[in-house]
Amino acid sequence: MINIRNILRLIASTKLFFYECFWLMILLIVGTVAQKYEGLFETQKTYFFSYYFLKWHIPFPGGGLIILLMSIGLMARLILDFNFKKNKLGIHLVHLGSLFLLLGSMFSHLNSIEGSLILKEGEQKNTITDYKEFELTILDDQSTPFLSIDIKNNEVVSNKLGINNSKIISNCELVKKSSELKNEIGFAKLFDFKKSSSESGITCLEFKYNNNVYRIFNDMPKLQSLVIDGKEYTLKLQNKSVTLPFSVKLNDFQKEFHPDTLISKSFKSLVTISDGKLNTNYTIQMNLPLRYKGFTFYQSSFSENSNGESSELAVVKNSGELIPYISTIIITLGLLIHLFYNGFNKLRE
Amino acid sequence: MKILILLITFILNMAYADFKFDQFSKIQILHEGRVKPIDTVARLKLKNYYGKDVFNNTIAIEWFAELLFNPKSAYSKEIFKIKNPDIINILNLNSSKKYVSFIELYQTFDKKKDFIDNILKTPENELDLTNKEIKDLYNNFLDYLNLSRSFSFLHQEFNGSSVFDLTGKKLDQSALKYIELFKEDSNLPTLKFINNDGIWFSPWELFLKDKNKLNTWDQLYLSYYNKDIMPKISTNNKIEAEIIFNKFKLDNYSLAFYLISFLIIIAYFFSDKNALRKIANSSLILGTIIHIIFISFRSYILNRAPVSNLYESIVFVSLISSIIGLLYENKKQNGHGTFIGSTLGSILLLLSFGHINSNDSMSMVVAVLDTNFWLITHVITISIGYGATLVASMLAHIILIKKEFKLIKNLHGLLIFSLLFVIVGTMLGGIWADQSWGRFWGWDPKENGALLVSLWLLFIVHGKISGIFNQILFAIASAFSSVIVILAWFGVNLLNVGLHSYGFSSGTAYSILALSAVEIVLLTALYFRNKLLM
Repeated sequence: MINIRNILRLIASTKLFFYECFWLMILLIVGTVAQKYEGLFETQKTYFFSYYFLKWHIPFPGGGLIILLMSIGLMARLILDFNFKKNKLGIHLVHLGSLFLLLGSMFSHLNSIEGSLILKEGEQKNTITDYKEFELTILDDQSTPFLSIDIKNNEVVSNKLGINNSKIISNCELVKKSSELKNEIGFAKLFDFKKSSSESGITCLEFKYNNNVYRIFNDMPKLQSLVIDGKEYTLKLQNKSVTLPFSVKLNDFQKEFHPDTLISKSFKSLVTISDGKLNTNYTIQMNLPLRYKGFTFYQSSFSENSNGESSELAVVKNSGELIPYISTIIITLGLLIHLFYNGFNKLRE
Repeated sequence: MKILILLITFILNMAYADFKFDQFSKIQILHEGRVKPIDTVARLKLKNYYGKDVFNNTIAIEWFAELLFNPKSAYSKEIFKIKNPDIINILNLNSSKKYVSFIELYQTFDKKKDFIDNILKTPENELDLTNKEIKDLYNNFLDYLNLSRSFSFLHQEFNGSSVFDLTGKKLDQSALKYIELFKEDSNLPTLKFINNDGIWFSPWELFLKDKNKLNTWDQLYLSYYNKDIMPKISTNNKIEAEIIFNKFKLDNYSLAFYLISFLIIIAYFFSDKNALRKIANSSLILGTIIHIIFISFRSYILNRAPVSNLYESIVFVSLISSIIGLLYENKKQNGHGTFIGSTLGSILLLLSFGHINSNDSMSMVVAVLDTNFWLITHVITISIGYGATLVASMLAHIILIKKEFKLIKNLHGLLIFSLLFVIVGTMLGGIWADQSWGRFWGWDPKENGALLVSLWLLFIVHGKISGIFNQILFAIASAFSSVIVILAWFGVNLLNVGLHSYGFSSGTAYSILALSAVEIVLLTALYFRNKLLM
């Protein structure tokens, strides 16, 4: 007979948490050092977000799995022991706050949009460029987008053209081919793709269309062409465009340095948000972001060239944004209570 | 606190008011983004060239006045420190001297013009260490030259007259030629000395614009030349405070008291005389008070909370360790708290001296780090956490070495305290990141470091309550926390990656490795020794 209480005890066991902490620390150290060689985003995907990863052909638990196990463990622990006794209340609050934080992080990870918006002075846009997600864009001879296909879970999503058998590789390396296959088209005849062991800045996509193999990468100097129903189109692999329900215009970018130095004092973007018939002016500057309709705009960077100044804003939409704030309050409260009812007792002896 | 600082400034000013370059020190200069007294710049420059802020019993401000007003005399002073003996051979300098004069460098660099040109054209990361030091020496030489010519219009080199005196008068050919020669100096880059209604000018810039605005400087020059009393300079409280701060290097005094406390408490452990413990503790208290005043002065002068760069964080954690040590001693009265406080206070304060960038401990910080509520609360909380963890680690060492396992409960209590501040500090860091950049957690090295310390503390505490760690293992793991904190605090900077990178330093890398190795060996030995005795 399955004793639920015993199962919960097993999942909630402190010893299990102890080993989870230990493994998470190993992951942190390995993953942080790897960042120097493989780049921030790649190592995040490999070590911190994954459920498992392979090293020397052996599967190891990834950060995602550990966090999931910790969440289940915290839930089990709360179900088993929650009470309001003074000497345990602090701990329960800490566990509750932590559970909330972990669940919130999983929610944000799956649902948030993070991208950038680069505007020249005087320019207006209503789309932002996603930092991480890519899309395959097919352009007609006037360079107008004919079709944009999302890329999710490392492959192109199902589409009306029938592009399939796809694979996207970030941190990619081009490998010159020594021979070519009959069904390889254009660039695919000359180069193969391989995962690079260091940060390459290149993302590659390989796919099949009408049984022919195509290979493209982002920022290709010469775009690969694709023939659909006798008409020629060009292919572009670029970061995904996300449309905003309003548009943003940069009126002026102002930068201030500490007098007589190149140390930045403040960077400001004066923008106008056009939403339907409403036009409102806002200022975005370092440490003072703009929050509008669930989107938050941060002053991230800027650039200057002969045409003028451009402001780069970081844009985030995260409906789980408040969760860490609430968790922090609950955890702080819990730790304070625990310190007063347990910690100081131990120090007094 | 502000009133206390002003009071101290006032008292010390009264006591030392009788000093020759007193007024001159107060002149305000715009240097590297901050308005500061000329006294600070003088000390900085002298430290850059010579290595110390005193030259052969001449204080920095006096040396600087000579450089500005009487460069001919200054040029022959042996002020430039040759750090590397190889430089002597490469540049064919007089090999018996560690310090060279401006004149000697001028002649040397003139002969080696092509060599210097090549060094200047080579990118920084391709220079080897010696060539890099030659480049630094050359840059110091140029800096010195520019400063020496800042007030050349005042130098009385033409029949007892200067360009200042001659301008605006009817002149003969030779006088006009003399003036033309000096006009070259107006193009040299130099400090913005003079504030004229809100805009800062270099001396020559203002001279060419409106020479009458320089009358105060003409008076200063003449009183320097005639060895007279200098005219009174307008000043404000912050300037006065900074001059006092420069003069009474409070961090040195604080360190001295911490070291005295350390030595006396060691004596107490060998002799068991309670009087020694009390004296050691008093010394620690005095050092702590001076340390607090030191940080308060900085805060007042810079107008921001003193936690904006690595140097300031080390100074702050040093103070926290000392305070927690004192509080623990107050409870237990057995000398352990004093020992921990004085040891950590001394080591960290000493460490801070090596982390001052380019001799300027009061530099401006970039926009994103400037005055932000969440930044300040995050850094203060996590610094308290790191300080408390270091104290706990030292207590664990004491428990293991003296085999006093009855103190385990105290250690556990201290760890709960550390846990609170480290975890809340880490989360406040996330909140700051969310407020400033839009994401609560980015898995970047500094964030991962803080998370590592948090996890380590959770790991120890859960190890104990689950029974996996017996008392010995609990103490060993707690003792090892010092390595974890150092890794998180300093180690992450070595990776040079992400938003928080500060750059690699091989000195730091070797020190961290050395500390880790020593701790591993020591703790392994202590483990087996304690295990055998249980």
